[in-house]
Amino acid sequence: MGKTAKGKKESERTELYTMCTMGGVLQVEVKNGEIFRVRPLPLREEEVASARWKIEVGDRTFEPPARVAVAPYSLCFRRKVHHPLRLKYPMKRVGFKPGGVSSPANRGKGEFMRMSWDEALEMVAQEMERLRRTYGPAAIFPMYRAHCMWGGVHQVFGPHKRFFDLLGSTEPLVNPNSWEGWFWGAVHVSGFQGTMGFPLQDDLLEDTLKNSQLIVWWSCDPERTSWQYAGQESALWRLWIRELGIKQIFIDPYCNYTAGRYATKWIAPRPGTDTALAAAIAYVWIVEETFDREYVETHTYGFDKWRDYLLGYADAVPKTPEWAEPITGVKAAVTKALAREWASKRTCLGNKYGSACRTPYGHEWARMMIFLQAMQGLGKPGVTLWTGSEGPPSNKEFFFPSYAMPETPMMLVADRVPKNPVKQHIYRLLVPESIMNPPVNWVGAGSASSSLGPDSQFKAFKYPESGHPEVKMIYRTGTEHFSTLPAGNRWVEMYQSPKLEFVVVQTPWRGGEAEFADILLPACTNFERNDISEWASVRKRRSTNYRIIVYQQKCIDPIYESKSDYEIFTLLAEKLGFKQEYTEGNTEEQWIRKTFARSALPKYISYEDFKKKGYFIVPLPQDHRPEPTFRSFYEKGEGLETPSGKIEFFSQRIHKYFPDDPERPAVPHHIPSWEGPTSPLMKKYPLQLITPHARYSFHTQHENVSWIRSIPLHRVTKDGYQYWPAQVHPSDAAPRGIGEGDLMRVYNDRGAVLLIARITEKVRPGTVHSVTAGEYDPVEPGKVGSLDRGGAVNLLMPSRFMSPNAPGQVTQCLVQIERWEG
Amino acid sequence: MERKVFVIDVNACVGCHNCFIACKDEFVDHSWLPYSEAQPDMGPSWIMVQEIERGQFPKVKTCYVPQLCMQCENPPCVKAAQQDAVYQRDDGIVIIDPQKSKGQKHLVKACPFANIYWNEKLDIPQKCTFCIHLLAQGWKEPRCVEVCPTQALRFGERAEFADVIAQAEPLHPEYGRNISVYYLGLPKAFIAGTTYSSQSGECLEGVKVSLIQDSGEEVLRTLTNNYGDFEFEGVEVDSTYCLKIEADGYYALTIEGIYAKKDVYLKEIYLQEKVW
Repeated sequence: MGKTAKGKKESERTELYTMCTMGGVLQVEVKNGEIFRVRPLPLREEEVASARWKIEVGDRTFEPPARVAVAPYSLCFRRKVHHPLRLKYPMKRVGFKPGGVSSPANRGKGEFMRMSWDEALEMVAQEMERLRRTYGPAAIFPMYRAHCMWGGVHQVFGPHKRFFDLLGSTEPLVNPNSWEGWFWGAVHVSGFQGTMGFPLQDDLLEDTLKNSQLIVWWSCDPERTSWQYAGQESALWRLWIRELGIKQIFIDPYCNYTAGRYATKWIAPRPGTDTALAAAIAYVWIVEETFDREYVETHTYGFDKWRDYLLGYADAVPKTPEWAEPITGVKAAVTKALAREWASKRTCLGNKYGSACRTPYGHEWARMMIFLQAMQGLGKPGVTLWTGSEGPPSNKEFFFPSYAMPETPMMLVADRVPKNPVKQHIYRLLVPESIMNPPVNWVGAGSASSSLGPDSQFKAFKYPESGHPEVKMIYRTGTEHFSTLPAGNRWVEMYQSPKLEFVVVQTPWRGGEAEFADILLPACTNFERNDISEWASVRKRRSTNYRIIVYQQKCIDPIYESKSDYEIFTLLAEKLGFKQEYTEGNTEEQWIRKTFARSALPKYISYEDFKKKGYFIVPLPQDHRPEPTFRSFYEKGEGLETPSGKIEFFSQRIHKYFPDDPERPAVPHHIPSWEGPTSPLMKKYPLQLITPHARYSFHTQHENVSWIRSIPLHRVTKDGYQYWPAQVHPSDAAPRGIGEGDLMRVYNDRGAVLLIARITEKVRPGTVHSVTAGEYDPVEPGKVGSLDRGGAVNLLMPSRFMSPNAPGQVTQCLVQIERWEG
Repeated sequence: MERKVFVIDVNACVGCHNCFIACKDEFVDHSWLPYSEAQPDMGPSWIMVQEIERGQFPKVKTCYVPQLCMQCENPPCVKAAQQDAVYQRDDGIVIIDPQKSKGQKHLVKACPFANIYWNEKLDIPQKCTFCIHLLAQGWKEPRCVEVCPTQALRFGERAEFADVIAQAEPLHPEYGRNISVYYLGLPKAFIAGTTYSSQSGECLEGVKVSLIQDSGEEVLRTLTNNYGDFEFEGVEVDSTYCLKIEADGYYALTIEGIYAKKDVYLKEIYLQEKVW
C-alpha cells in the first residue's frame, strides 16, 4: 500500500513505499510507475523511543540516533531496478534446439532471441520431463545460492529450494565461502556450527565499550565487511571507540579502510603467514607466564599439546618471535611488544570473515585466533572475539524468522516441507570437475553442516552417487556469482561442455553467467513484488541499532515481462503437474501473512496496520540485561558444542575422523602455504595477490550499476571504461615501469585480468591487493582463458582446497604483473 | 537571508560514498529547473570524496575530504560567466543557470576547487546546488547530509553552527574567502618513527623525542610507546624540522633536515646503548 505524499499536485503524485534490501531499509518514492527517489527509511524520535538503548561508560552515554544508516549500494536501486541490462522477456540462445546436445560451444557468446513466456516455460518443462525420463531426476541440478534479492518469503531457500526438492534433483552443497577457516577449523575448537564457526556476538558492543582496553583487529575490516546486511549501522560505534581512547592495532597485509582511519599501529605480515605470528605471540605468553593458567586448566582441553608444539617439543622448533620473523616479515621486537601489551590489557580480538580465513590452511589461523583469546580468559569482561559490527543491545525474545536455513519463512509455515528424493550432491567448488571429469570425491557437506551438525563436515561424498545419472541440466537462479568462484575459466569450459544438454538462467539482468544460458527467464527484483523480512537478521546475529521488521511493499509492477521467482516456479510446477503441492494453495500474499502470524508480530500490531505502515520497530524490554557471548562459559567452564564442552586446543573431532592428517592436525600448526612466499612458484609468479571482499559492491552484486561503477575508489575510468583497481606498492611498481593509473595485465597459469594500477603505501611490498568480486567481462566472450577486463580476479585463484579434508575456498594466489600497452 | 552552510568533519568521514550515490539518485535523469539540469549517469557526482593517503609503509593513515561547491564569497565563476549565467543568491548559494550557461565550458576552469563539471551531452557546466530545489520545498537538509552515517556532513544556517565554525577552517584559504563550507579536522602532516635498541633489537618505550623547528625552537615533545613508536601529528607542511631523541642509557641522537613536504615516517631508528 503506497501512501501519497502531501502537498503534491495530482499530476505529480508521489507514492511512498517501504522496502528492505541487503544493506538497509528504504523509503521508496514512485512517480508514474517508476522509482523516483530512494532514501534511508526516515524514523521519528517517538517511534524509536521504546527500542532505544543506552550504554553508559564513565560520564559518557552512547545511544543510537533516530535514523537508519544504509550502505551506498542500497541507495543505488533506482538505477539498478530501471537498468539497461534488465532482461525484458524470455530468450533463447540463437541456434539452441531442445532434445539433446545443441551447439554447446556457442554458450557464452551472448546471442539470444526473444520467446514468449508460454513457449519458454513449455520448453523448460519439456526438457525437464525429457531428462527425467531419459536419465532420472538426478540429471537436473539447480544452483540457487549467492544472496538473492532480499526478502524472507523469496529467500533462496524458499521458492527455489522448494521447487527443486519437490521435482527431485541433484542437490548443491555450498562452501561457506566468506567464512572458510572458521567453518573448517574454529568449529572444532569452540563450536558455533550454526554461525559457520564464528562465535555468536550477543551484547559485545556494550562489553567492548565498557571493558576492553585494547582491540586487536586481525584480518578484520568492519568499515568494509559490515555493510553487507547491516549497512553502516556500526559506523558510529567506531567513533565511540576512538572517543573512549581504546587503542586499536590492525594486523593485515593491507592497511584496510578501518585501519586507515583508526589504527594506532598497523602490523603487516606476509599474506598467509598469520599462523606463525599467532604461534609466536602464544609462545611469548608461555615463556613469560602471562597467560591465564587457571582458565586454561578449567575451561579448555588439550592445552599441553599446544604448549608442546609452541615450545618445540614435538618438532625441535620453538615458535619464538625470532623464528616467526623471516616467515611473517614482522620484526620479532614488534611481535613481543604486541604479545606483552595484549596480555597486560583487557583485549578484544576483532575478527570476521576475511582474507586470513581464506588462505591455504586458513583453518589453522581461525583455530589459533580462538586459542589466543582462550589463553587470556575468553569471556572475561572485555576479553572477547568481536566482529566490531554486531552485538548491540537487542531484544532476543522477539521471534521473527531469520534470513537463513533452517528457519526461512517458507520452511516454517508450509504444511509440508518437501524432502528431495534424490540422494546425489555436487559440491559448489567442484561443479566443473563433476560435470566434465567425473567421478569426483570430497569430504564434507559444506554450509549444510550448520543444520546437519558438525559430524557432517567429515562425511565422504562422491559424484555420481551409485546408481545415479550424471547431471545434464543446470538451472541457475539468484544473482550471479561467477566472479566469486576460483579458477573461473573452469566454469567457462564447463558451460561449453557437450555433457551439458540444457542450461537455464533465471535472473533480472543480462551479464556474467547469464550469457552462458540456453534459455533466459526474466525474474523481477524485490522492488517489484511484496515480501516480509527483518533487516539484517541472519541466524540470531544482531547488527542493527534497532530490530526493524519490514513489510516489503511492492513499489512498481514487474518491469517488462519479468515475473517473481515464486510466480515463475509456480507456472513451471503447473506445467509439470505439481502446482498444488508447490503452492499448497498459497498466493505470495498468503505466505507473507502466514509468516506474520508465525512471528511475534501479532502480539504488537495487526496485519493490516503492519502492511500499511510497512515496518515495525521491535521494542527493547525495560529490564534488558546484557548476556555477552562466552560470559556464561567463562562463569561455568562448560557448555560449548565441542565433544568436551570446553575450548579444545586439541580438536577431538578432527582427531577422531582424521587422526593422521598432516595438513589439519588435531593441534593447529603453522604450515607453509602451498601457494605462498616459500613456494617454488614464486620464481615465476613473485607477487602475492590478496582479494578480500569488496567495499562498494558485494559478490558481484551492484557491479552493473553505473553509479557504483562511478565511485572513484571502486573503479577507475580510463578511455571510457571503468577498470577494477589493484593496489601495488611503489617498490613493486617502479621496476616494472608501472605508474598510477596504468593498465596492468595481472596473470598466472590460470588466467589473466586487466586491472588498473593504484600505487600506494597501504600495501605490503611484495603483495598486490585487489578485491573480489568484479564482473566477468571477457575481451573475447565465450572463449576459455580470455583476458578479462571487468575485474574477475577469481580467474586467477586456485581451485585447490585449503587442505585436502577441509574443502574451503582460497582467495589469494601468486601472480606476475606487467604494464599493459593494449 | 541567513547564509546556508555545510560543516564537514573530516575526522568522522569514513569515505563510504553514500553522499555520492544520493547525489546521483537526486540528480541523474531529474531536471530541477531553474536550478539544475540532469546530471550525467556515469562519472562524477556533485559531491566528490577525496581520499588522502598519508605516510609510508607501515605508518600509513587515510582520511577522506568530501568536496562540493564552496558557494564562495565573490565567486570566481560568477565573475567568469558571460550573460550573467552564474549568480549568487542572498543565502549564499551560487546557481549556474542551465540555459544561459550553455556552451560556457571555461566555467569549469574558473573554479579553483575543481568543483564544476562539464556535461558533455547537454553542453553545460554543472555543480552542487545545496539541493536548493528541496530546501525550497521545505526539506531541512540536502540528500547527501541525510544519508551520511556518521553525521560527518552537517547543514544549516550559519548562526546554528557559530561555535563549531569558530574552530573550523576553510579548504584552501589561498583560493579566497569561503564562508559557506567549513571543515573540521583537515589533515596537516605528521612526523613519525620507531625506535629500537641496536643491541637487543627490542622496541624502546619511553624514549624522549623532541621536535625542533628550523629556528632552533622546540615545538613539540613526546614519548615513544610500547612499540617504540612516536608521532607528531599536525605539524606544518613545507617546513624543515630536526628531531632530538634521548633515552636513559643510550646515546642521544639528532636527526636533522627533516623536510615535511607532507607526512614523514622515519622508519627504524636504532639507539646505541652506552658502554660503561
